[in-house]
Amino acid sequence: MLEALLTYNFLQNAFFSAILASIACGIIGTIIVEKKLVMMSGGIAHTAFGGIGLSYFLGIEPLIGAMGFAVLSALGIRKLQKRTHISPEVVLGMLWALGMALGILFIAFTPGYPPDITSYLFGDILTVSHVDLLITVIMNLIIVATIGCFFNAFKTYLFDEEFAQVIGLPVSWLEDLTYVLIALTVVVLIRVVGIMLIIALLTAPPSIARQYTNSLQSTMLLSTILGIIFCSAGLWISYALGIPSGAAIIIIAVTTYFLISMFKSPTP
Amino acid sequence: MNTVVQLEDVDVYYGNLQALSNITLNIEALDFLGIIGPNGGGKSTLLKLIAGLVKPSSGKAWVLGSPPCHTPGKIGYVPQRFNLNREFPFSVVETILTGRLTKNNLFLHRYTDKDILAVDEIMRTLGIYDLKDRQIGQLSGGQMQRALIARALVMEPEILLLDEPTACLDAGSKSQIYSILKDLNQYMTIIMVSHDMGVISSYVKSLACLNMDIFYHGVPELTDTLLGQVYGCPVELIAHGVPHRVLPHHPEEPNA
Repeated sequence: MLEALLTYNFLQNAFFSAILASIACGIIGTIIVEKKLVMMSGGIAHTAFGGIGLSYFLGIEPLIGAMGFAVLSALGIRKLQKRTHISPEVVLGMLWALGMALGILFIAFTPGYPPDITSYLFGDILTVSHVDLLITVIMNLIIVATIGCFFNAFKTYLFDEEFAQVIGLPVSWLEDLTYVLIALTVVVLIRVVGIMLIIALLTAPPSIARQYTNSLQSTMLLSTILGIIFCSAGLWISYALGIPSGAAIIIIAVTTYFLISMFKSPTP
Repeated sequence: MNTVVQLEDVDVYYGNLQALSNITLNIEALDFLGIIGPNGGGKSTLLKLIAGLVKPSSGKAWVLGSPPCHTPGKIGYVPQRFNLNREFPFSVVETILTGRLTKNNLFLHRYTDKDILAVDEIMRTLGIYDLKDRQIGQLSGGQMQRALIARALVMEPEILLLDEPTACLDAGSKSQIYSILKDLNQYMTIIMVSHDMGVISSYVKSLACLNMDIFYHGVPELTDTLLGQVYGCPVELIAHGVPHRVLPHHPEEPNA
């Protein structure tokens, strides 16, 4: 494996994107789990598929379209939540399916042979291109810099929104930012595990990390390390056995979570 | 005496639902105001209005001379502890430190030694210093309440707002919280929502009865008629072991 990693360019790309995905996942995944935005993230991921379909239709880079759809849907869900009295879950459920439907529609309209969409739905880390990698690096820089620079503000907001507002923090702005960062994370993860499997990679590492630490920073750090382990192991299995990488990564992550939760005493 | 909170004909609506109606209320500096009233009577909304968390739909509100949301740092807010995420990976000291955060230097913000000293001192005063490294979910109700009061106090506020600080606490923890508040009241205005009518009136300086609008505001002495008006049904006052009579003596039962 190590020899192959040094020789083959596609394996290097795969490995780098696994590490980058794990960093985004460790930081934002922790926020998603603590702020209970798991279903929200699933919804944002699925609407991104509409963007991928549109990109194929327009002939542009699929991840760019995915990013546009993810960010707009994230902010749209926020707006709808504030305005309607309907439970956000209902709106989310509709957007979730609408995104997928639009994706299918755009792909059907695209002239020529239909593109292979399974790599976007289920991820294919072994086909990560230089462009994908570049987009991933930029997204990661934005995520790490934003959270890093405003860490104390985010911490305060995540724990108690009302109190954050009373002490004068720009809560509405922090909330928008959180949703946009979730959208960017989704884009980073699409190539690695795919739209359908993103939720598990966002939630499994922080849920395992939380069983060993009671601090937000260490949860993020430990989640990142766990993510790197899961992604590398998945990548290796995928390369060695020729099975889909997204599936391999998710099965390892979720199985580890269940095994650890089962054999660990209930409270730390 | 100067007025710290001034409300004039304030209405608050949540969508079509009216929470507060026609509230006119002046609160003087260094008052200890207890607010009682039935569930859904708008007690929490009144606190949120003063804290700047909800805006008046009509009417005028001033807190320390400006509109409520323009006074960050001067108002300490202690929310109902049941609304918080107890699972959150935060230690007691980290939770309290967030009270030192201001909107001015959020970029690359680090807590200073002064912040940490201030937090240490307050934790000692409130008797939770030994718990500083515990995760907040591992605190008892009374300890959690003291941690939340500490978080509001490290802001060094001029007004302290508390939303049912003693709900579901045992008698010991309750009197502990009340005696802390009594000490604080020497240099701070306190506005507190509570359900313990019996205990509240032996600690507070003035009392307001709220059910959409204010039925009573004045010295802490309650009558059956007044409580009947506020709660819409006869209410029995039972003061648990408090050497203070809540109801004035009445000569005979009015409707007996």
